[in-house]
Amino acid sequence: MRNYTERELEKMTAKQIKKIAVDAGCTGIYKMSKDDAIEYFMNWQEERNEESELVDDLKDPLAGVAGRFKSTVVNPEGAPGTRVSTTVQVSCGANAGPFEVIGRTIAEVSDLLREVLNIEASATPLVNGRAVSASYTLKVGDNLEYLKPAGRKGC
Amino acid sequence: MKIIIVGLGGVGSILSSKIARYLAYSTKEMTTLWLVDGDTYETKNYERQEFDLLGNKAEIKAAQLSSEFANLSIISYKEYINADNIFDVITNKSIVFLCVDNHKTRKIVSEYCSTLQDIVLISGGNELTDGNVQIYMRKGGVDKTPSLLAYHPEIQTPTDKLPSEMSCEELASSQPQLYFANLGVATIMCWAFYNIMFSKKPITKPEIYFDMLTMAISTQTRTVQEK
Repeated sequence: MRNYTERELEKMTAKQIKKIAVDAGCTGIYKMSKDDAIEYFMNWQEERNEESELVDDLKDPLAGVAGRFKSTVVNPEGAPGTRVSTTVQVSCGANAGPFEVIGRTIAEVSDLLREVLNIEASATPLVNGRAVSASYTLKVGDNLEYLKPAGRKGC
Repeated sequence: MKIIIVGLGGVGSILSSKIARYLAYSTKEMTTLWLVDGDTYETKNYERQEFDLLGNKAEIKAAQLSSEFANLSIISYKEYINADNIFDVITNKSIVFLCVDNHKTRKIVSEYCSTLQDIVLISGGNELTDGNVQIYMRKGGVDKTPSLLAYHPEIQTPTDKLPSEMSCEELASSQPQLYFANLGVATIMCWAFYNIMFSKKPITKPEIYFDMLTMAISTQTRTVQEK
């Protein structure tokens, strides 16, 4: 099923848009105005594409592993189990990067990356959006953010 | 369309000119631009703020932009925004740029916006060389992105004061700021505005950070927590 661009949809009548949407499996669009129908269908296509990507991920041999992670081949000739390094995305404010910290606690990562990411002592660690304690151990698929306070000034 | 810029200091004085130019020449929609600030432009502000005369910031910026962009309707509101007058300024279906220098005002504005059906609130702030922008959106009475308070306890429980609560000494002794940091915040707020106006994609990363010293900018995922 192809994706329609906003420009393509704008050239169609509301009736044509709704027919295309219903044929594609997008429901709940029948009573909408043309503008609302375009917005709704564009969002629906977006979500469908994301679901499609997830299905593609499941074809991966590592499909049983929860979440997404990034791995780097560091030793292609090495023994099995030593060839690939897996990293966790760690960020603090604008500063971010993938780091080899799986299996380390938040306290250890804070010490390790304090200067690299300019992590303030008061920054709250969030893993996948939820606050965690300093003893939390990072797992494959985690995303660690040290929550930086909002900028105060501007006037 | 009603666009409101609250705070016309280092960020707001830059932002207002850019937004006015965009509205005057790049949109066909009838727009009213509100400029809100109770503060006075003084010689000490020359370093970072863009005005052509001394006086109340809202008044002189409105006059400046009205003469430059005659097709725009511009209203000046010459008071600091607070819990008593916010109803006069921010109304449903507005787009609000919040460019203030204290978390107490951010909390008042965010909490008020959370009572409206449809609202876009773009808030920016900076320290000396870094800063952030937050986007809070509500549609049909539902939060589409988290409020300014959700991820920020320092805004939820502010320890600072409103401008109207500060003494002359406190007002005069503000922390140093850089024009470039103000400019960074204003620019990112313009990007946020453009995305909200023209992108059909839902905004899943409504917080943007930048750091001048590492020359980095990043967006952060924020999810609306169920109450």
